[in-house]
Amino acid sequence: MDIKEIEHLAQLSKLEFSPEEMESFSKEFEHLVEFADIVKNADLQGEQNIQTIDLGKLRDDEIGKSTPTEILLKDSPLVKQDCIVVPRIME
Amino acid sequence: MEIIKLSALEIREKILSGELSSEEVTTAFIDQINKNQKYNAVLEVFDDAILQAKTMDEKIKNGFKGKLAGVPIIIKDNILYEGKICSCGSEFLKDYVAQYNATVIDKLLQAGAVIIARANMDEFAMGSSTENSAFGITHNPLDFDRVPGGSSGGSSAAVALDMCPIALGTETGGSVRQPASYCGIYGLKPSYGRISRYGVVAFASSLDQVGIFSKNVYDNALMLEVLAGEDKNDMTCAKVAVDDYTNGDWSCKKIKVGLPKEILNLAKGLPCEENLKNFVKWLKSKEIEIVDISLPNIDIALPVYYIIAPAEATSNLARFDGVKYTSRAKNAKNLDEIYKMSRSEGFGKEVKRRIMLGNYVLSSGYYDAYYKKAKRIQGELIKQFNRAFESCDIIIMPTTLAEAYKIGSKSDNPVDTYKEDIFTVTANIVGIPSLSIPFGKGEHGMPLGVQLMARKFNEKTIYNLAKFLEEERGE
Repeated sequence: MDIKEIEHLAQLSKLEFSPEEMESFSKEFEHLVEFADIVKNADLQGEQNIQTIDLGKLRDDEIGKSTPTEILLKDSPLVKQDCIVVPRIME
Repeated sequence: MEIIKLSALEIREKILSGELSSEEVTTAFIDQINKNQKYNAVLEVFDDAILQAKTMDEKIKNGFKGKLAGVPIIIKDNILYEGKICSCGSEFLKDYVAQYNATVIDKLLQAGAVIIARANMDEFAMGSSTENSAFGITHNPLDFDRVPGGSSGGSSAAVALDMCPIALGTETGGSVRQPASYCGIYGLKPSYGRISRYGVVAFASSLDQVGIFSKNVYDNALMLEVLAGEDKNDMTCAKVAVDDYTNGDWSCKKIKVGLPKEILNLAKGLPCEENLKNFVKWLKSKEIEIVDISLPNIDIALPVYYIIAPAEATSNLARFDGVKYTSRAKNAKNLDEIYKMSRSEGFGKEVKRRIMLGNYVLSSGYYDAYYKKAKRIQGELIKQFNRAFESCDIIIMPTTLAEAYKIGSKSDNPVDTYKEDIFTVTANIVGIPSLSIPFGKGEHGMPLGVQLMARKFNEKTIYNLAKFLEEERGE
């Protein structure tokens, strides 16, 4: 697989790789894609619309327990006045 | 009497009768953890474990008789336990403190369990050896140079090392059964929807289940009885009545065991082939009826798995972005850099590989050829298993190709490692329960396992046969 395609996947994945890592990924991906191609090339149509999970009915819309904001924010890397801080998005 | 050798059932009985206290029991298991730190099975002993045990002793004095009263339990590092770190074996979440309890934790506590520690795992449950943890490799209790299996290798090693009688792991494609097999213990993957996934960090949501490690069949069944059942917080958790798993018909004379002919072909020439044949011979000697069955496309379950699982993982792991939780890259200057740099610093190599693969099979132009096709084949496999179960109650197959391998011995080609999962992924793809029971030995004397699989929600049939076999072996 060429580096351009790996770069595109890295972009979709929000991941960065060094040129060496890119190189090694592109080699590995040959194997991975070959493996996935077994499914693509399988002479097996399979079943359409098989529901693999029975979701049943939605639960009643009732007020339940919820976690307080200050506890939820404890795990956030940067917090100011009950808000998560991120860099400015609008110019 | 050595406390750490007792079963969960015995521990409970001795505590309820006053022969032992929960505090004594918990102390004994924590000592055992401390003595065996070199295996790196456990990441943290909870500092309130003894306090929990003392509280339990008080409750028991006041008449409490929970199903796990005073029994010490170890959990995998991807199950949320309020106030405790849950790091998923990842540098990215090394400081993450759980803000609420997973449903399984609430159920453990209600039953009187004392949760003493969290166990090591492959990062985000991706791997089959526990070599992919950010917190070091876990070693096999029976041979220090070999892997314990994975991804729940820490939980499995902990049970095999007598650090607790029962431990929880999680399964997406064999992460409980495979390490159970490598460590010579019992490991159950329940039916999809049997146990709530609420509060369990998601890998592939349509395949994930909490699983159970134990040293005997009864303890395993006891734990399933505690954990199973519907949950309003997990709509994929089934509204199917929970069986009385510990109170079975263990005579087993009417159970028909199906041997898939395709499995014998896949196992040909491998150490698991002879072991499976020995298992069949042994079942026959116990007058259990064996029927030949066919699962024509079972070999394709593996690539189907390695499309569906990474696709779902890619979506699930999008939440780890350096914004809401997880660590954030110091030098990121804008939002996109926060995502990219934090994720690149935080995730390990195997996790990145699977995120990339997931995005590949989901990306525009490939979705129909890979993901959609894989889902259709999944449907076909479910049909084939249903057909096979028309002529038998239990399907058997090996758990692994061979015994536990040497640490660091796998090649750089990830597909070679993925191929180890060939016998385990099917139960996740089809959604059925499967128990790996210890049976036989490999070339170097390490344990092997055999899987007993049943129709969806028929865990009880599995336990019935497993218990019968355990008794026949005089364990």
